Amino acid sequence: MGQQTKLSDSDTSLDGRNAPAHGGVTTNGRSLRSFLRSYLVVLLLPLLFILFSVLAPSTFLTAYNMQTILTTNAVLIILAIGETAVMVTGEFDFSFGGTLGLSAAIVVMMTNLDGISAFEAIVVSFLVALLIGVLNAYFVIKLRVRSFIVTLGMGTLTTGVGLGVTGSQTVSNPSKFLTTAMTKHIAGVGLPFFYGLILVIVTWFLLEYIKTGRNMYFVGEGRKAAFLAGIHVNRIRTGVFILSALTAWLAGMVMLGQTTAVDATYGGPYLLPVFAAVFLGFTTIRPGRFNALGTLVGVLVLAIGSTGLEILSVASWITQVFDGGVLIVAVALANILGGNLIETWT
Amino acid sequence: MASARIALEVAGLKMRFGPVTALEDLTLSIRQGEIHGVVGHNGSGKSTFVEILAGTHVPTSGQMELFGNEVSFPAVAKDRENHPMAVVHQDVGLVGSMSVVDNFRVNRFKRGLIGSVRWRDERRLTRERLSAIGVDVDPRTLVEDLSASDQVLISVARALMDLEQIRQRAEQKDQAILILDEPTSSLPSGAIDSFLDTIREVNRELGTTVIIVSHNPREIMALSNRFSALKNGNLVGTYVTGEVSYKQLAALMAGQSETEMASETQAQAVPLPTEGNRAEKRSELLKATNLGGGRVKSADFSIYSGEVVGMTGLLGSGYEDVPYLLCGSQMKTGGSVRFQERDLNKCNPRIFRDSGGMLLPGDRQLTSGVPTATVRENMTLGYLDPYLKGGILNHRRERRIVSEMMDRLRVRPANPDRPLNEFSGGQQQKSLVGRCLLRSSKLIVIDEPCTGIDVGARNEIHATLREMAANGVAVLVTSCQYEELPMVCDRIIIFQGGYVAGELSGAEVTEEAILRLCYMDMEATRA
Repeated sequence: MGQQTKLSDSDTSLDGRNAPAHGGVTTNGRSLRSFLRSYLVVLLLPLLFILFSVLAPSTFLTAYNMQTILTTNAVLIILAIGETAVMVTGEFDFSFGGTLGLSAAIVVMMTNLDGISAFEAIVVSFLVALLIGVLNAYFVIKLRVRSFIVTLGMGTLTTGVGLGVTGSQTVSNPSKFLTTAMTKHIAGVGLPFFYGLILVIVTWFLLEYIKTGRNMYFVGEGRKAAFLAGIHVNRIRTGVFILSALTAWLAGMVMLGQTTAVDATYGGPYLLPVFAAVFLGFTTIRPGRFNALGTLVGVLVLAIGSTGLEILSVASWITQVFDGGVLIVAVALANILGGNLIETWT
Repeated sequence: MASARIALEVAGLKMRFGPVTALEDLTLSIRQGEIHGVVGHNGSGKSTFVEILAGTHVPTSGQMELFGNEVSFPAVAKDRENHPMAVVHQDVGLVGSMSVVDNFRVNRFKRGLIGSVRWRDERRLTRERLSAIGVDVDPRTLVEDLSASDQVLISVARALMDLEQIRQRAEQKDQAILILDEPTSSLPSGAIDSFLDTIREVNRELGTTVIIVSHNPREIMALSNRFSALKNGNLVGTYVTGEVSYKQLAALMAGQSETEMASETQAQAVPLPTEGNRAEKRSELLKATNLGGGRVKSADFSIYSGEVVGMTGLLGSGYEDVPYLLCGSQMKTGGSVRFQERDLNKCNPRIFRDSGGMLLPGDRQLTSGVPTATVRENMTLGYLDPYLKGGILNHRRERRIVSEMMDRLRVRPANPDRPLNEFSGGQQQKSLVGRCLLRSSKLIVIDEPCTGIDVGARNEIHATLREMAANGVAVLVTSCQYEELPMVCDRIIIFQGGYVAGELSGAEVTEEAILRLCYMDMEATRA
């Protein structure tokens, strides 16, 4: 019975790697430290929130501003979740920006043609995104090119194709269907945020509670051991590249619906914040592991931080300074937490 | 040779690593112009001796004289005229992705007027030097594209060129020592003879003293004038090669004393136990016929349920590849494997697992364990099914079962959610062995179960392996630690040069018997 109590204690933590798992053996000082280790970045959220609320009560602390932050960061959440899955398995995907732009461009151009419905156009763009994911996987797994290189090339390549499709012009979205699906609101927050939230929850569940999720971590952290234990290493790697391409496609649809005008390079600026969010996520909730909730926290930190700074300084360049700075600090933190784990990627 | 001067002399050489004594009190001398073998079993101190000569280790105490001059430690060849020694290490020290000329001349390039390298001259010099010892390659070829034997020869040629430069400056032109540390271990068997010829030529033509460390008795017999046998950090003796029989040499290499050597002459190769009566007692679970792949050339063996069978041999003899050939992670080049009436000829680790096999690979940091993952995750790696309910992982159940297993194996601290790398080596290995217990398998293959762990953990792991066998599981243990195998195995299969050299079972299973088979002259036995 004594053991039962002990076990349920550790069940209160999300994953058991956190503070409560050490409880009983360790002193209060140590459990506080490991609590901070797990939740430091999470604590940053209310701190930033209070800070900006105090500094700019009339502009930052408004329901409208909150709703806007969540709505406009839906694309970032969706992209960052796809990247999280890829990075769990020890790979990179730099091609999501290109996939996003190309998917959106295809929909726009096709619906402008006669006799093609918005739905058909969306299906075609989905298939193209799928193809991009398969190609990434093929080059990385079959031809053994580093994912870093393959996806970097693929991102530029698809952006180029996207520019070709749109004739290098910003084109507006004629699809009513998409606009409706992406601009409807619940409690003032755009639907896409909820799509992103669902993705976060599904991915978190996958990584925590599904066999494939556990195996994904092993593919990233000990690929040889995973292979020798009979895990479908390459099937999992193929899966994440496809998943990542499809989340980029979804992000493309969201962006198209939200902005009504799109250009193949629209995905580019997301490269940095996506990695900043994913690495921030690595340092929190399950420190030392890429995880979906951590990524969500990372996105929110970036979103609140850059919006707040923007409101304060009335200068949009601050966003880039902030994103870049956060990326460096997050990777440094991740390095400290993960030891040489990160070394293999960066 | 009798009136020869001394090239190298060490006296009272002692080397301690913490509590471990690698060299106890080594005194030996090497004559100028001879080829001197250094032999001994694992842990005899021969590698430490080489490391001290190469200057990578500083001995705890002792003296060394080189051509009559006292040498201070570390014996680094900075002052090359006083340290005319060149070492060719086992791993040859070449960079595969760079060209032959780069590797050959690195740090030695002649510079032109503005400090630039004169590539044409360098290439010509490289080509001349290499063809002098029988390697005809374009100096622009990448080293990784060359055969293993050419790579070793390039390394030797580089060492020789260094020695020559030393000699040009030194007063005594023939004062140079070439040290070869297991030079043939990476050579294909066909290339060894010509390599030995090259070394002999170098020794004869240039008067270079050669020290060769080797575990291959054939090589020492063929090459050396004299050899020194080491055991437990001491010199057993220095012998004139021509006065020692192959068998005596093999016994010395295995670390047996001279009195044991005497009785050795009567001992014959151990007869193989007859297959027939064994099969009556236990059912044959796995049968390998002409199995080939990796360093295994052709091996026949059977594994029966309810036994712990060991596989061993000298490093490189092939036994170390067997677990990976069986599970299919390494390519089989021939033969067949039948496992429970099922062919495992085309196999991969998943098929092996699904047909009732279980592999625990040999490297806790890389192949069997994942250091950053928790003990819980490591224990259930590959076998999550018992903890799934409707496809959803039941963490509580997984944690409970792993906790129970940790209690049973006395893994401390008993916290299943700590990362594996926060545990000591012994605790890590016990946890990983626990992985084998969490699933019912017919055959458990464990590679090097007890490397780098303490005696307590080792005994516990042995007990666990015995327990598995008692439950009817077939356990295959591959290990290079001859002293541990008799403690745990019912039967031991010894490999030599890619073939099964013999098999020991029951009372025959002793460390001495294993060593005898490891060093047995197989070719003579066959003939």
